[in-house]
Amino acid sequence: MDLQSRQDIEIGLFMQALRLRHGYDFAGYARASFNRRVRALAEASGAASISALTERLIHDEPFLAEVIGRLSVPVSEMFRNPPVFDLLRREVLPVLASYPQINIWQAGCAHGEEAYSMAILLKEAGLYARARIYATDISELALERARAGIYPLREAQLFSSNYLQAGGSGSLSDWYTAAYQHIKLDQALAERITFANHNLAADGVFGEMHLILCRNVLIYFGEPLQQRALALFRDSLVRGGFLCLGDRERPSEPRFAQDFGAIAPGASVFRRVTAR
Amino acid sequence: MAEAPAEIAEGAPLSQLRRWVADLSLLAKFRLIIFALLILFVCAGLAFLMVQQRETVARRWTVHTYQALWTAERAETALLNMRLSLRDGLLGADASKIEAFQVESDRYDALFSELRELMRDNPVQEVRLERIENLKRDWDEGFVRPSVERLRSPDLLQQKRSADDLLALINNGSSALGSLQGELTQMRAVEHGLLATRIGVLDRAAALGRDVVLLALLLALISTLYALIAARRLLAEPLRRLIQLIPDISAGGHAAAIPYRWRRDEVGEFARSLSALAKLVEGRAGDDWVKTRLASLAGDLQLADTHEAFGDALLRSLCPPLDAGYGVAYRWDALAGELQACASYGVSAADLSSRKFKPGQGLVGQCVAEKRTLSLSPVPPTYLKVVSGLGSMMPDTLSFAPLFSRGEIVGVVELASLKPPSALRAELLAQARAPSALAWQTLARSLRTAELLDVTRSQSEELRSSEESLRIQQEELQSSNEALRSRSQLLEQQSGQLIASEEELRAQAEELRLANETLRERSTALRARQAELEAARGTLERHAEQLERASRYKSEFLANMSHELRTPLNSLLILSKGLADNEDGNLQPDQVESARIVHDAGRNLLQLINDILDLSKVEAGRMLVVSEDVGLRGFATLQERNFRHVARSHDLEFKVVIGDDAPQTVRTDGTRLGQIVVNLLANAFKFTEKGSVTLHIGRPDEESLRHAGLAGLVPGRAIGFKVSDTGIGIPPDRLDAIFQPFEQVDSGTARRFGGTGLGLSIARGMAGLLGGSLQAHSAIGVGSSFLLILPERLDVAGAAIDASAAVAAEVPTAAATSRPAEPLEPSYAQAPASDERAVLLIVEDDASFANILAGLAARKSIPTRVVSSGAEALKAAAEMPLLGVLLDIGLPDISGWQVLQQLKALPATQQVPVHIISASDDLDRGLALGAVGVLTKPVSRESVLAALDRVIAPGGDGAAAPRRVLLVDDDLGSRAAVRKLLEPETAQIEEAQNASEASTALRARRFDCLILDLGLPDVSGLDLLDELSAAGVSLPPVVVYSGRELSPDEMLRLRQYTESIVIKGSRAPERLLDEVSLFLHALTPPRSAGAAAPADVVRDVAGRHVLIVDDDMRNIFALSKALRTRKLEVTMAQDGYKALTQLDSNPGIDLVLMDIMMPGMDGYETIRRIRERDQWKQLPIIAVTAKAMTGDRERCLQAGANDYCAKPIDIDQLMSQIRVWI
Repeated sequence: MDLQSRQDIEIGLFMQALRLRHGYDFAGYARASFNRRVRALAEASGAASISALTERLIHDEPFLAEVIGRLSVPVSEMFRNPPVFDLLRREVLPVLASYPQINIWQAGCAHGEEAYSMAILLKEAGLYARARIYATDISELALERARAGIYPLREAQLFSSNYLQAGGSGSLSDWYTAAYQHIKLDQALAERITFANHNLAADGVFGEMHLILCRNVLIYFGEPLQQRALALFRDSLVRGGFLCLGDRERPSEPRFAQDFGAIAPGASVFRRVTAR
Repeated sequence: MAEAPAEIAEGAPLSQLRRWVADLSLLAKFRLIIFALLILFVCAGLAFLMVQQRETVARRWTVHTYQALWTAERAETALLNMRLSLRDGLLGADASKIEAFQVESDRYDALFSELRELMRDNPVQEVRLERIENLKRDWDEGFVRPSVERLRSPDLLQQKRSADDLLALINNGSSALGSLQGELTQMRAVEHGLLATRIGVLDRAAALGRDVVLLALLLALISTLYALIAARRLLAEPLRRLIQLIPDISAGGHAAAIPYRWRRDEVGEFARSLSALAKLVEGRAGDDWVKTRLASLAGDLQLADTHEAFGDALLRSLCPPLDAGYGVAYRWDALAGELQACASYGVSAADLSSRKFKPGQGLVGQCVAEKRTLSLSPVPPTYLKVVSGLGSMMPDTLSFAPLFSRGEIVGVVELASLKPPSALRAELLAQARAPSALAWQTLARSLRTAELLDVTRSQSEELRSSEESLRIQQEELQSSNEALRSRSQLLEQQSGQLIASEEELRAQAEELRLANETLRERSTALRARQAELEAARGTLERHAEQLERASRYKSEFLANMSHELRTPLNSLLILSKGLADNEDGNLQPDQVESARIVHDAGRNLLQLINDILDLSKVEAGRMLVVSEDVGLRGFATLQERNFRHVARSHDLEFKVVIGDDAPQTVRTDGTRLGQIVVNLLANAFKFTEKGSVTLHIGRPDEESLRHAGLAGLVPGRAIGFKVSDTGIGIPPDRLDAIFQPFEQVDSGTARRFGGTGLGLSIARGMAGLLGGSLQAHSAIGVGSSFLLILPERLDVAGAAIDASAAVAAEVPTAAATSRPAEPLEPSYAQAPASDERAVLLIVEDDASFANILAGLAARKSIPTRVVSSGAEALKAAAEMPLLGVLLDIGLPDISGWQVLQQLKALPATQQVPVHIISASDDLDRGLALGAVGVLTKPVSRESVLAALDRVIAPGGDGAAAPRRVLLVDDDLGSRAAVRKLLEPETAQIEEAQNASEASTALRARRFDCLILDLGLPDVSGLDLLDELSAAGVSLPPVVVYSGRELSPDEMLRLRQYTESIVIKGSRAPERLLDEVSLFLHALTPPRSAGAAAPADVVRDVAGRHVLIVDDDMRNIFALSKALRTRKLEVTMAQDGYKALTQLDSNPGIDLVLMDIMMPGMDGYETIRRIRERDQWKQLPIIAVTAKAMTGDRERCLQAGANDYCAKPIDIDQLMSQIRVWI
């Protein structure tokens, strides 16, 4: 038996252990990328093999946080893909302004960059006081970092230029203080953000949302899991609510086309069209 | 440059200036010369220019003077010409001459003004010109004008005759002209003088120019010559001298002899370089000498193989070149720590060994201590002399050189030189120290190595001998090894056996494990069975509860009934009493007797009813208990007085005894206590024919307490009332039965003694209410005794009141379920079935209410048809056209919901307006199913009329009726805007500008949609909604269109009525249209899901208070709606903090439904905070969360939740959870 198929067995067992021991079901994730990340995890935690990893997973309780942290991909930046934020600012926020309370769900918030970006957008539109942002992620480690709102100074340049491209009206530096080679975002931004653990693969709807941002998360999911997540979003959104997906994420599901319409041709922001 | 002053002294004749010049660099010297020449040249040029200037000026003045002269001469000529012309004219009487005169006169004038111009610089001449002018004027006056006049006069020829006059005139003119001419001549003379002076000046200037040129030439010549000479002296000569020195220097000449080193120019530089070169050459020669000596020294030292030989070689090599007469070499003895002489030169070696020095001792030791060469010069005369065969001489210098190698002292060399020390020799000695020290140290080491080698050799000899003995020991070891090996083989065998037994053990363990597992399975099964049992027990308990409840209902019913019965009885008693009294005296005695019988029977009946009432009150727990202090003595006296005459009439003895141990007072309900005791005493008197009756008050004994089942009481805290008699007694098997209602010892007794048989039941029930008990003891024929035991202090916990409240809450529902089964025949005229006129169909099984409805409809002249069941209703709908339907929900056959659905499903009746009038609670569902309105019973006349309007108003057939929108906004502009916005909807829009208008409109008509601004002038929109909903007005779907933002509390309130809230803003109209058109087009407007749940009223949790904590409005409302339809009381809180506040202000909350994911304080934290408080430790909390993973449940329970429910919520499951925990 070659190494490849042996490893497949190991990864299968690992996945099963994760599900049985901790309830995390990664079966719905895109297989290739999941395999890659399990291998990376084994390497990073110095396990001799994936089976060793499995063993540790079963017996070492605190190890779970690290595993989940590494299996998810917490990569993002503030105002990532600026035109989308510009679109949100111009087209979506004015509509949201007509709701007495604005609930926004950032599903898969990574280290919180986009949640904070959204907060800045709302602050600048004067809507933050009646908005509420739920930033959820599967990884506790990522959430911890998101709560802190501290990012390396070297990324500040990219953030700033993104901010300006997204049509920012001031300077991003209004929102952070730089020290010790890091920037720390204004705590006032976190005031109405709720960082919470939520697993798109297992957990349910937790509230009525007006805007859901879930960018570059579905790409890691297999087809059935994508459908599950989209159903969650559909059930969460109010009629006429908005869903913002990643740039390359166009679900092929027929139900999706039926429930959602893009707000502009080619845009990655969709609006819920059907009645409940 | 230290030697510079000496050289200055040598070149004394050099002046300070020359020295300065000499010090200048070559370039500076050239610059100096060129600069000097340049200055010279410039000066000469300037001087020449100055002279030239003066010459030019002089020349100009000369020319000026010439001009003046010439002009003056011409002026004089003109004057003369003028005179001539005039004279000729006069004389020849020729008038034509006047022309010539005029020309000359003009010329003179021109010349004169030119002259004046030229003379401006000379005041003397100017004065003269003035004078000339005056003279000219005189001349003009005296001669010219008369002459001209005469010439011009016409009688010129006649005048010719007076020649004398003429001559006089001419002469006159000549003399004037003469003086004029004289002046002019003088003027010219002055100018001539000036001319001479100016020519002189010109000449002098020319001479000065020549002199300047000559002087410049001379100076140039002199300075050039000087420069040449200086160059030779300062440059060429010194360079030549220095160059001549070079061969001398290369031959090792003397650096000190080189001149010009002090100079700071290039020559000085050159001289200094030469001097450095010379020193280098000199030094090189000395080095060569030193090196040669050192080389030979090294060679000599190499040969030495002992310390003595080394010392000899060292001294032999050093002494001759250093001109030393004698020398001693000292070796460092490391062991002794001292210097020891080991070789000598020029002195006898005999006494060397005695010469030893420690470091610091003598000069030899001193040089070691100081680590440098010491010299002593001159040597004192008493010191050792250098002796030869020819004589002796004093050494000049003593030198002590320490030899150090790598910081370690190796030895010292002492030398006595005959000559004074030179630098070169000092250098040799210094340089020789290091290599010789190194060589000596090497020698010492090699000598030491040789010694060690000797030692090693002897040691290896010893080793060889010890090896032998080792070999012997090895052999012994080998043999013992053999023995060991055999022993280990044995061990191996044993271990094999061990492994085997281990295997067996493992197998056994496996078996054990299997057995364990079986056991575990069995225990699981057991547990399952236990759970089943538990469930069964739960069911049983529930049954028991239901049973108990049923009995309570019965009592309740009785209580109600008794009340109802008592009211007519009262009048019956009053009337019959009146009849029996026969006050009018018009009744026959037998009639009076009959009336009395009626009255007595009525009284008995009333007594019975009262008893039943009391009993049922007791059983239903509705009897109010008031705790008060009762004085026992007073109580006893009262009883004694009450029964004294009874006893006397029965001829019985009656005793009231208070025990010594009885307290003064007890705390209990005095009235009830009196009732019980009176009841007991009455019974006792009733059943006793002779003997005595005793009431004894005192502490009960422990035996009777235990018997009474009041083990919680101690004798010291209880009080007993014992009524004993000597009556007929009760058989033991009936002792329990007498306490049952309607029971007596036997039916015969009843006949003998009368009574309802309820007294004891009531007494025992009351005793229970007072926290005590009532027991009986009896013996047939001997008598009976009843013992009432009460706690001394009754604590009213309000248990009785609570229980009654709970029952009271359920009674109406219980009553409501009992509907009249048989419909009464309607009394109003029915539209005949065959009639084709459209009718209003009234579906109602309560005939009287149906009649009321029909009556009201008739008053509005609406034809009606009344049916009492769903089937009939559907049948009627199929048979005849309908104006509308008034529909009850609780119908005997099928439910009104089904009727409504079927009506809406059939095309023929789809558009028929249906209005629901029912006692059912979840009527909102009716709107969802398409009803135009709902009314909850009981209804008022007005609301029924309004409902009729609503049903009939849409017109004969409501099919094409346009959708109707009520727009409530106080701002006219805003209303117009919305109207415009809704234009494409073709809806009928009605406007209201304040709440009262809106309220009127909504009460009067049916609308499909209500667009509501919150800020109204009279009542706020929110209050309007509250008011309408409280008044039972059914609301159409509401769209709130607000100009301001809403607070969370307002949103919470609004959410009860609508989800569609639009805040005005740029994109708001679009959304408003969206929301409104949704309601206008939807056949079944969306309502929240909770309403659709079937309303199975869960009695066991009904009325309980639940707190819902969730940040999401949608969840809160869905949940609260679902719970409210199940008769639960619901309080909402939008976050953890509010939840705590709500719990504080509502102590009656029975259960909390807690969302986990909330902003601010999450659910876990909130639960923890709740559990921190003692009074909430036991409060049931069910966590409600979207999180569905394995760990989430554990986390909730860990935080302190009692149970867990995952979203989306299954309401049935949640209800069963609530039931478990309440």
